[in-house]
Amino acid sequence: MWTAPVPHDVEFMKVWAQRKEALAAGTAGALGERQLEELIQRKLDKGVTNLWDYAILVMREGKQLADKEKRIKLGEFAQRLAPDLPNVYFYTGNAQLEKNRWKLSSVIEGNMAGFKAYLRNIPMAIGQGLNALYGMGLGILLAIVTFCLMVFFKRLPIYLHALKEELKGGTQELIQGVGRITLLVLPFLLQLNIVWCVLIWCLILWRYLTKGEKGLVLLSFLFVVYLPPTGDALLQFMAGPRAQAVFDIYETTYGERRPQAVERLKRWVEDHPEDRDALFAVALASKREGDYPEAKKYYQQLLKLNPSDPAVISNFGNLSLALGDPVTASGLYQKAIELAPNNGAYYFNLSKSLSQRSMVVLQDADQTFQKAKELSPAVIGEHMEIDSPHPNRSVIDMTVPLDDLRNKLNAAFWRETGLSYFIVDVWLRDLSPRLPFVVPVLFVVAVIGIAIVRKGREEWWRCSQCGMISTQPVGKREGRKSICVRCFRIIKGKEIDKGLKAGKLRDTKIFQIRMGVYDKLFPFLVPGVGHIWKGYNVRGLLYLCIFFVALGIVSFGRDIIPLAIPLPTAGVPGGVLFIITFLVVLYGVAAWGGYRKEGREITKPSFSLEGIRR
Amino acid sequence: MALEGELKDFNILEVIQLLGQQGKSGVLKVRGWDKQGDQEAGIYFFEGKITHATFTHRTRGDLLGERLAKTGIISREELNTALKNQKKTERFLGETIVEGGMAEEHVVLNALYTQVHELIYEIFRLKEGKFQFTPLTDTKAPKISTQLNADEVMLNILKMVDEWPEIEKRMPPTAMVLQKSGTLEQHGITLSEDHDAVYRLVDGTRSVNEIVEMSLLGKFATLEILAGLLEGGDIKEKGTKKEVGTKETPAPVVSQPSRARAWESGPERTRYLAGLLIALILLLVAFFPFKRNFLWQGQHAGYARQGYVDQTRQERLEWGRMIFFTEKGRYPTNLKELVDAGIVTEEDVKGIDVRRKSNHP
Repeated sequence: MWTAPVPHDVEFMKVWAQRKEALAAGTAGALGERQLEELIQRKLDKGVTNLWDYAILVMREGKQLADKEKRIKLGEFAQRLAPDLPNVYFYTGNAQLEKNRWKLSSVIEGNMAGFKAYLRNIPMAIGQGLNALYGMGLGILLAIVTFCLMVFFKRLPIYLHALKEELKGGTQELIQGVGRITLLVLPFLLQLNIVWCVLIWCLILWRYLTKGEKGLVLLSFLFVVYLPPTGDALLQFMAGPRAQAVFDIYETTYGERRPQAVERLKRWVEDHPEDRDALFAVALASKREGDYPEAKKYYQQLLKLNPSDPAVISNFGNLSLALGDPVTASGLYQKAIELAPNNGAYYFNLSKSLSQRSMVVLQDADQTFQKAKELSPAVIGEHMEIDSPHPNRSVIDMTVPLDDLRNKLNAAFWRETGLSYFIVDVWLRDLSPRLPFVVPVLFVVAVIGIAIVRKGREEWWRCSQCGMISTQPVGKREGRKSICVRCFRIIKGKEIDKGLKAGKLRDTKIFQIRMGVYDKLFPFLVPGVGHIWKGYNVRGLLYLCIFFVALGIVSFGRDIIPLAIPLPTAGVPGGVLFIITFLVVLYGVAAWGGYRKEGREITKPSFSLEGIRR
Repeated sequence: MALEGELKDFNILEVIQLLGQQGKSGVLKVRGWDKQGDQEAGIYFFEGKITHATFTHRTRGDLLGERLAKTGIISREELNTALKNQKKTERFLGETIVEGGMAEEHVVLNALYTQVHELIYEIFRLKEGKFQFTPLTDTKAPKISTQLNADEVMLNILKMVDEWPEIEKRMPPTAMVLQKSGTLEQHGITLSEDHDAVYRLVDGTRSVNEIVEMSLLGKFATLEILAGLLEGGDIKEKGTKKEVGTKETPAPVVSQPSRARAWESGPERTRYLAGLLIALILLLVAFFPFKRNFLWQGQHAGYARQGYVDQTRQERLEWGRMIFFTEKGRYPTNLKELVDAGIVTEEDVKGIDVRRKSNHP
């Protein structure tokens, strides 16, 4: 059963209920604009910046309306109710698009305003950012899996050929062969996940990989080592108390100032009396709620921590003014101005306090006001739009800057997670539920070991023309293409043994036909696969990453970590269409490019294979 | 500056080909190491043609004089005389022998041809080492020299490399004594010149190794011909000879596994099936107790995410409840009502613990 919550603000609810009644009675006009305006004014009186839930309610209402004009109108109200909620701009953009399908400028404008709101709305930006990061991380991991699988597919025949040779041999070779089989199954035996499986397979085939492939496998390895633990650390941090404190500061200062958030923040400052940002937020919240003694207590605490903080001093002045003591307030503003002479807000506040003191200093008040306008025209201009005699609106309250909150979040993450986590811990994470010592650092050791042990030894390789796998010294080498001795002799016209020649031509034809099928097929599977198959690894991996990241963001960009506020609209207008168009174009470009590219590892025979029977 | 480099960077055959194409005169010195230790070799060029070659690794049997003496072309006394004359005149042994009338020029050239190829083959086998070409401006070609085309040598060496694994499979054991079966004589079949030369060396007393040493065709050609004659039933095994100080047969370039004959005679399919069975058993063990979810789950994956997701979901529902209340004037009696009102989705309420407190702004 639900437990009944305490309504966070009875005043707002009362106005909303009046609007509903008026709408039902038909006395409130079409949209209840008067009550909505009253709601906005009450919000400003309370010193609240965003009324998330009422903005959502307005949008929900608008979605049910058939009249497009009214929907736009409600969208504009929603924007004023919660100016930091990105979806109110997307909603209005959508409504305008529905009204006029060709007025794209309004959509662009709406989208831009929405994205700007994201910059201001820290919790929502982080939620969406985490979703995007999750989608991107997933996309990159999928790209790595696909890349490693392609490399595995390309090099496996050489490994299997060596295995086949060993199975034909004596006891020692047979044991080696069994070892090879065990190696292939090893990732499953250790119950590693698919990403580590493919990486281990690439490690097993390391000797047969080209230099480029080795480099990219190592790069992929670094991503696999760092991506999941970074995600884990981020999410763990976000669920922890430090991040919560930052979100609470935001909600208390810029949000709806829900009682739960304020209460939690008060408990936080009891435990962390040195946290000045939290104290500042709580002090301001108390003042805005009208709890002046509580606010005074917090400001005094803040001044003890830093007696020369102009923002605290100015806000303390605001409190004094609210308490009806303009003389003390003027003194405090003067002090704030001495500490920060270029901040127009302090001059503005001083002008307000002077105007309340006596008629004698009215001229001084006017001069101070002019000075304030001169120093900070944007801040003063913005405030003048909401200016009223209400204590929460007559002066400018200083708030914790958004940049400070972002920095605080960043610093708290690094303090909590620690650099050692990324330098040491991620390398020592258990990978196998069956064997506790299997850690990423083992992978590095194995690569170094293989490089040292196998140095200078003869390796199996595949002829780029006939596909024969052997350890013969190379007959001819051109870049990555190596031709076996017999093919070379045929090219030179020196192979006189007709039987050998016929056999070789037959093998060449079979190999070339098979490779031709793969050359045509792979470019159309997934963007980038064709490039990897043909030896253009960097470009192939890049295409794969772009494709899977886009797909990851589309598929998981919204749903993995749900937003704390249940928003009614679909999001950015034209966003889905944009992504689909992008994916189609990417697929087309990559597929066509991959199809047209000439393979770097397959040599087309310079002699005719016509008439050769398979 | 002389041409020089590392063997691991440049194939020696490619260097030979380059010098041949450039028509250079001089000596290509190769210093490398193999199982026998440090080796030094020299390939001599005159106007792009290979005239002769030397190699520290070569055995007594590789020497030209020894080769000619073993095949009976010159006697031991003639060889000793030729060697004494060579020391006095400081001329090439081949020239001394031909000018001394001990052997005909084409016979010596044949022996030189084989010798040069076999030495270059040995040099080719060196995988690590250095090479350096020193041009010699006043070089004169020996009067009796092979004058081999560098391209031709390269292709012949590659042919030897290519075909050796096949010959090795077919060649008889080196200690085997061979005798003629008489079928050729019975049917009056005549052999090609090379085949006939080798066939004539088979007399029922010589081992395969001895025949190889006495043949002027070289190890590869001789062994190939012997294998062919043996397979064709023209010659047959008579017994084995205990060899003293036997000369080694050419080492394979391809590192073929030393195969146990017993295994080789066994059916290959059985071994493949055994391999397949082992792979299947290992797979069975790997997937036991038949859960595949480890493939898409990491050791820790998801726990941190789940905690945060649960937290935001709880909060989302709190907000949803608030919106529902403001909109309807009452609280929802269950989660389904929130979904039906279109405030949250089915996904949001899946597996949610409603007793947990929300603590997100």
